[in-house]
Amino acid sequence: MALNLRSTTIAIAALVAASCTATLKLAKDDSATVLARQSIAAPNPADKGTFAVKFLTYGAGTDKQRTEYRDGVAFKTKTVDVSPFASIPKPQQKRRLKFWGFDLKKAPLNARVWYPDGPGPFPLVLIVHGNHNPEAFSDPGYGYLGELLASRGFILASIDENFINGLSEENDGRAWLLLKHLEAWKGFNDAKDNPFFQRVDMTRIALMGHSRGGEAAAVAASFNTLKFYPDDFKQKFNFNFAIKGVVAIAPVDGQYKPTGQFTPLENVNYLLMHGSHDGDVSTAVGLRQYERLKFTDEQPHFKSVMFMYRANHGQWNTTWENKDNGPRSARSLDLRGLIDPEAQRQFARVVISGFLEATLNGKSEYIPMFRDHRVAGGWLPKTMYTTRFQETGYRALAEFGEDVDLTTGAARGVAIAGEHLSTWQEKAVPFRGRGTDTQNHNAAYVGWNNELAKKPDAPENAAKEIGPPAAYTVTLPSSLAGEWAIGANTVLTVSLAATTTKPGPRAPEKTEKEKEDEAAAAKAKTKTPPVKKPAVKKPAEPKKPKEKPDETPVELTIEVIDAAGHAARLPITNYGIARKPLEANVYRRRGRDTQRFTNNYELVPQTFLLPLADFKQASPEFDPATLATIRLLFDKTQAGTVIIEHIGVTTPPAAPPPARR
Amino acid sequence: MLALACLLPLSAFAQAPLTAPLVLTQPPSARVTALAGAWVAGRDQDVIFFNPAQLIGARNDFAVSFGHFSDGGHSAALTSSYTGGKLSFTLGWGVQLANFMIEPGDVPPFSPDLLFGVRAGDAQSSVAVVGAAVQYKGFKFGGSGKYAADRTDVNRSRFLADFGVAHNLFGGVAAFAVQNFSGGRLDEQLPGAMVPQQISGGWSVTRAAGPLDLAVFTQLSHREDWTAPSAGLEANYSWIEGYLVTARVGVRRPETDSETPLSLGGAFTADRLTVEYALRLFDEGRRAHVVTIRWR
Repeated sequence: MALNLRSTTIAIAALVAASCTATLKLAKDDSATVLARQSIAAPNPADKGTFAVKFLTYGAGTDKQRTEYRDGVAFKTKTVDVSPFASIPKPQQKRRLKFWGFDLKKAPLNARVWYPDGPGPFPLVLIVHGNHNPEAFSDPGYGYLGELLASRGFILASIDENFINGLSEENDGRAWLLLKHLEAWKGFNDAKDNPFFQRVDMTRIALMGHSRGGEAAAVAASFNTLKFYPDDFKQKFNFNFAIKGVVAIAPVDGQYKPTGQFTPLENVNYLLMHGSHDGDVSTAVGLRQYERLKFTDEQPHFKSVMFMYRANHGQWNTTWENKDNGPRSARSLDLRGLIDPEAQRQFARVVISGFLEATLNGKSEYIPMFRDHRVAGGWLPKTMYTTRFQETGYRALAEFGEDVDLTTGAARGVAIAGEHLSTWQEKAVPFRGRGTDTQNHNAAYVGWNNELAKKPDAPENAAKEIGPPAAYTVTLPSSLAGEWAIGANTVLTVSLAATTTKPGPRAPEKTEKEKEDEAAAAKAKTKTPPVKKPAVKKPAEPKKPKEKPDETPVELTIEVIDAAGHAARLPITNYGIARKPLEANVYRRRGRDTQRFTNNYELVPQTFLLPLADFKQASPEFDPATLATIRLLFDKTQAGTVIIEHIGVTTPPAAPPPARR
Repeated sequence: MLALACLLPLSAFAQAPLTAPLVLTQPPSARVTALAGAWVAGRDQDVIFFNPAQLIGARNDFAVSFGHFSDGGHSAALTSSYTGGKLSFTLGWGVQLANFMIEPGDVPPFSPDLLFGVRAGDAQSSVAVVGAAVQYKGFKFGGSGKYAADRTDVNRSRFLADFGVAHNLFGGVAAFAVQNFSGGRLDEQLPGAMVPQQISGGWSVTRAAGPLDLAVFTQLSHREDWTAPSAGLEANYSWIEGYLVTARVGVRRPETDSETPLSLGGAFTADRLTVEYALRLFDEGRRAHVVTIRWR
């Protein structure tokens, strides 16, 4: 009896537990085929380099909590007053002062440094953590990057901003502290008694940040060129460091808004990494910063997004791990879907090291993996990625936000037309989160179905009839190719995302006779009063079983036509994969994702870069220099909807002038 | 404090001087019952009966409780709170009733033992309380007004007040309250019917311990000729967001020598709904069961 009662109780408990836990749902993994090739011949940037790695800490030397920032500092730094940029709420002041032993007027410049054992000078990379429990120190969590980068000849300093964690509206403070560290580094490089004397190449600097730190890195790059703090002219800036790159790992965006605007950014290389299963910054808001970054100085820059399926927020940091929602994350977050933490960090090693090699060491052989990640299939952990890319020389033909006319493009004289489309509209690209927050730019939503709807009198078993393929066409004014120096070295740039929406079969084109008959019938109908038919109850249609969404990637053809009418076509799949959105359920509780998000995926369009030279190779008569028309021909996938975010051309500057110092 | 309460010498179980109205010494809800009434530093809206200062930060639940002592003795309570305005202003209110049976001619003060058994006459003890609290410079201050009555053939009532203060201390909350202020007799004609005016101090803390969240509540109350320590331990376990199972145990110096010091309880929470149960043990195998339903 007792046993029965116990078994029943256990069974009921198990049933309750199971019924409120969501089933694990993951998108079908295609990495075995997508990542099957490796075409970059350069060595894997995640491989350990040739330098022996040394480690030290520097700081104020007065830290109450950590010996490495007290007795363990290799050399001391002066404190700084960060109070103009951040403040501690009154109720917290006493406790914080007791814990840290200082307030924001005497903020320390503490960091852990991994550096190569060699004379240098070495490029300098700062990384800063984001918001976390201030007493669970975040700065040691990037040691895995420090070990790798130092072995490859970079100095990596992981900045301690734990004392600013737990505050709000402090991201400008985080950014300012990064720049104060750079000032300190300039001093280290200039001081004869410092271990880094003349070992730092202050002309090659990159800033990296995670979460709030990811936004801070971008804000610091923006502050770097300013003369005054945007929100108070009394704070004068005079930084002007040679920041060549910014890496934002799962960043926030807009937590600090200089003068009430989103942080503008110009002329710096930028890498955004974000995970689909981020349980903290669940919306990839860094996409907005990516969009805002402009290249205006004709110097060679690039920006890239690497969106990693099954990556979370914390596993980029070995202290944070899978606790995106605090110490009890397992109660609220579905951790079953997460990729192995080491695989997530291996991805970080590959792309961060590759980015820094490309931007600080000029190793352009690593840039292709940001254009199309499939070329680095052998280096990347087996999961799915979406990548976006843009570089200096990009000119937009269609961006969909410049006016409300569907038929005009972004450049003067560019015309857009649709053929056989089922849907065609321009609207904002949404984020997955609830509310009205969008990616702050528009896209064209284009749907098609090449199947012709059956005529009312067609027999039940009539064969499916397929009409001519739908198309979305961008026509360039005749002078544009010349004005923009479009040629064989130009790359057609298209960013698009496939959706799961499938329009129904389209109405067949009507012949002239059919149109006339229809008009006549309509006329007759208006003359004859309608006869009321007796209501006939239609038999109820059998309930259709719920269809599983079609996860097959969309395939289409890109057609280019020159001024003489020579056309060349290439399948878009040669240049990337237009997957349907990758389903990512963050929460463990059944129905929680639906409550908290509009979509169970983040819409991240994939960038396809199609060199016009490839078109020329496919069709030698095609002349890139007189490019006149670009068509997205929906001839491979019978029905679907895509969100087209950008159509443009990228022509690298003729001869890159020397890099700005 | 818990250990201290457990180690109370047997002599400590001497009966407390009887007070009136009866309901003022009875725990209002299953949670408070299971935690032995150690609620001066408590953390839900039932603190309205113990220390109005602790209304600050209490969840704004609506709670209804029912207690069954015997066919002749029952209790019920209703509490809720509302937060709004400056200084974390919180308003709370509660009603508590105890129905029991007496012999004709019995007058207050009534023994809690009367909650058991069937007798010829009906009696009711009740209290209605409205209170408010604010927070200033880290201190929580609260005050409440009470209408308390024992009703037989005659309704005998008093207006009373509670004052409380609380502050964070050693990672938890330390709280003090003056309860049933104005004291005196419930009825001037009844010299033994003293209102239980008392001072209480307590400390509570919550801590994570492995997969559990533990909470400890302690209290020491003193009134004329009576000092009573009490303590309670609450262990919560959640396997998924929104669902929670809770086990509770409390120990106190009981008001009568017929009640054992130990009380037990448990709860199950599913999102906004919590169902709580508590068991009070008396001698001769007598038991009181209390059930509370909370809706957030």
